[in-house]
Amino acid sequence: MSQRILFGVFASEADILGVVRAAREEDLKVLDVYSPYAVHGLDQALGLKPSRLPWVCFLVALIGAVVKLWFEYWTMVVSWPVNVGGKPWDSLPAFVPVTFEVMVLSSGLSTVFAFLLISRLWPGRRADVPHPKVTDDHFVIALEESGAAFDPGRVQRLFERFHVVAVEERLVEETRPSERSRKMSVRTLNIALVVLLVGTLGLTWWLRPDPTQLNREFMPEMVRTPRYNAFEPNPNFPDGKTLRSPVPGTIARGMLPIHYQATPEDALRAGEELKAPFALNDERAIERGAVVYANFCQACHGPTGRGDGPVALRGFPAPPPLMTDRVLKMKDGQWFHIVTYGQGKMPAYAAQLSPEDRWNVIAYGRALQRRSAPPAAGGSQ
Amino acid sequence: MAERPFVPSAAGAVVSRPPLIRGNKTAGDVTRDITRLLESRPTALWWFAFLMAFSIFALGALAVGYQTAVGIGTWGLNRTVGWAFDITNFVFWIGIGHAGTLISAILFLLRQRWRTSVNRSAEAMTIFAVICAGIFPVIHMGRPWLAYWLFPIPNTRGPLWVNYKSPLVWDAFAIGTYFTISLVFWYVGLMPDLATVRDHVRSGLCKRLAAFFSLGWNGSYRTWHRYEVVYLLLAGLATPLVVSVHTIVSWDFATSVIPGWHTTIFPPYFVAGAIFSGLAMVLTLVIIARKTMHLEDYITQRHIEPMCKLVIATSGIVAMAYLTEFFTALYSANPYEQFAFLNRAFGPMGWAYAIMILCNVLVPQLLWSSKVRSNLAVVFVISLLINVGMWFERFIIIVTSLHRDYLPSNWTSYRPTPIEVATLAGSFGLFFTLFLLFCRFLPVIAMAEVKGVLREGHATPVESAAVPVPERVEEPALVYRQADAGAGS
Repeated sequence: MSQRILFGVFASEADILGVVRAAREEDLKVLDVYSPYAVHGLDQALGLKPSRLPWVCFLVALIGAVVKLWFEYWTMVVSWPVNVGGKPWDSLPAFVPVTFEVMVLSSGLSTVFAFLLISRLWPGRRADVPHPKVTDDHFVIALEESGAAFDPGRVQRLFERFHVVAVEERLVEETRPSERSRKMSVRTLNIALVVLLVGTLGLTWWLRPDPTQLNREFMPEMVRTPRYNAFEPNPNFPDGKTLRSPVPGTIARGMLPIHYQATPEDALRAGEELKAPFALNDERAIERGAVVYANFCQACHGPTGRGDGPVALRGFPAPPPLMTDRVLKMKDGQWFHIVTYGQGKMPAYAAQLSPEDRWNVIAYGRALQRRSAPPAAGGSQ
Repeated sequence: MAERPFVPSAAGAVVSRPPLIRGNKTAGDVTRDITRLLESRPTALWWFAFLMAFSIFALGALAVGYQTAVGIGTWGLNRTVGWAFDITNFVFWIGIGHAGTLISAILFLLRQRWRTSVNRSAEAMTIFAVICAGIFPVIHMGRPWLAYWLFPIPNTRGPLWVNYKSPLVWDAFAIGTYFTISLVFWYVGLMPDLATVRDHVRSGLCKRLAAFFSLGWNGSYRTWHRYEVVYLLLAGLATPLVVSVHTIVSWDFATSVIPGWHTTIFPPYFVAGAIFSGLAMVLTLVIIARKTMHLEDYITQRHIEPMCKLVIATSGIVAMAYLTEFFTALYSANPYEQFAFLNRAFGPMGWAYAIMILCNVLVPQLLWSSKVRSNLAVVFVISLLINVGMWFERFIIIVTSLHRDYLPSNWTSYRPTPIEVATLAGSFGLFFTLFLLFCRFLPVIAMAEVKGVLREGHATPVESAAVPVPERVEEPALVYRQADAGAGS
């Protein structure tokens, strides 16, 4: 079927509005009007119905919001519930902002796509412009040349009344080519769908999961972190070591420093100032002190503290026995000072013994003294 | 009934306002004036500005590349001030974008016809500003190649989804939606003008691109009819959207418990500040475009004037917010809150606060004078100062709230590194590079919209001045020229 269309070109907004109204009053069929901008009042003049695009906008907004809200609920409550500061999992007010944004996004985009679809606009489409000046400053009316009302003479007078600029007639072949092209496009679509289906199935076969293997990882990031072992050389630090040394002045737990010199005067002062952190007749302390004594002291001081250890027996100057009057009168703190800093030929034991073990061994020394205090009881060892 | 009852009685409008468009332009003049800009070769001034902007952008790109390779330890952030330049720039650029949407959407709904000359460049500004803004959160991640974790896509981590209760996720959705809708809105506005470019630019890249992207627009009124509806719907969607975007940005701060951030005034305060700074940026750009592209007839006092008035209004809102913050702190009886604000105004960053008050509250008051408003050089300087002030506002909100928190042992200071400064400069370079390219390749004035308001403010009756009496057809009578189906295409 073909259609004859008559195009009349006009130069002003007032003329196009006038000619459209007059043509419709004379029962001529106005197919369309072409204009460089949206002329106000032309929609009433043409008798166009209000567009239904607002419905698209509204419905897609509704669907978008509901689907997004459901998705947020599903991810946060069902799929992987995350406890955020003890808030309820389905804290709906927190879902409002994203729901709103998705609603606006989906309705805005689909309204525009719907508009492009029904107006048959797509990228790269060749424009069918009735007159080159229609995108500049001229207006064109398109009349269908059929129907009882169409009379060339009357149309000419009508056009001239509104200062027509040019007139052109076109014969538009409509149905047949579009029928063929529709068949073509359906065939193309079918081929594309088959290719897509085969491709999808092929990929699914090729990538079929192997339960014995790990899943494919995309950017596993921190799963296998490169790192240095503690004593490896490390180029990232100025001193070239991996293990960091503590800040100067760091105090280890339980190692509160004591401020004394290794002199007999300071030993006396320590005797006045230092007190054992626990009672020295404590069973546990004595028990532990016995172990420490056996490991560190017995070699010189002997098993009972008489100064007859194996080292002394082989000629090393023997330490004085613990049962002498001087040692008995010695205060605990002074003893602690001697164990810590040494005295005479005795070396310092601060490096080997923790402060607690030093007190433990003093407790054991006191116990030895008590045991040998009555001269008669000495033979029992 | 008169023969043309549809002619609005423009002559009857007694209120005499200067015309929106000067120089008695016809629709044809508009087409020629604007398309000529796309045909002519760029001027030396354009090349100078472009190379300048592009070099600054390249510097920023180098800084970002270095920061990405080495890590964000190249920034001056520390354990106490964890957000500084990056988030300041992000909020600043997002705010800039908001005025574009105000002009394109809100003023469209309010039927403000002066928007037609400036809306195209204002919307372009929105898009470029959002691009600049989007860069900062991404590079702030430290590992920007994981930015896709922001999207709730099925993944090999569980699947572990994004946390929809976090304002940072809201932010990602808001910025993404805002960018997409702004771009679509801009493109929909461009379609008729691209058709004009396609038909009236002689040749060249512009013409070919316009032919592709004008989607076959032929000015059909059926399309125009739907187009108007779509434009109105998009404006209606963009209006609540723009308010939501800066509201959500402000929630990034307000939902925390940092003194100085944890206030309910933040959303309106941020939205007003955004429009304030954005209008200043529109003024800056429009005055530059008017001068360098000789658009004096299209961008007139009728366009500058209302924008200046909006600047005064938003400046007042922002000043009110500054005062309200102090009142809230005083009235809260919360010593931390009170300290935060005293520290803001009189602490070690008091100088920044003084700049902010000077540029955002005091300087805009000059615009009350009509003499100042009509002096474009002064308006230009004021608009630049407002942008400086609004950048400092965000800097103050972020850095002064963080650098002294509840524990004095945490207190520290912040100082930007050269990498951060280069990144900030680079974002300006990117913005102006894009804007200058836009000026060369797309119609800077919305032709189809301006053609509709040409007679606005002209006292002369409708058709006499604007539309010349058409010359008669060369043919004496109606001659049908036969044309076959394919004639048009």
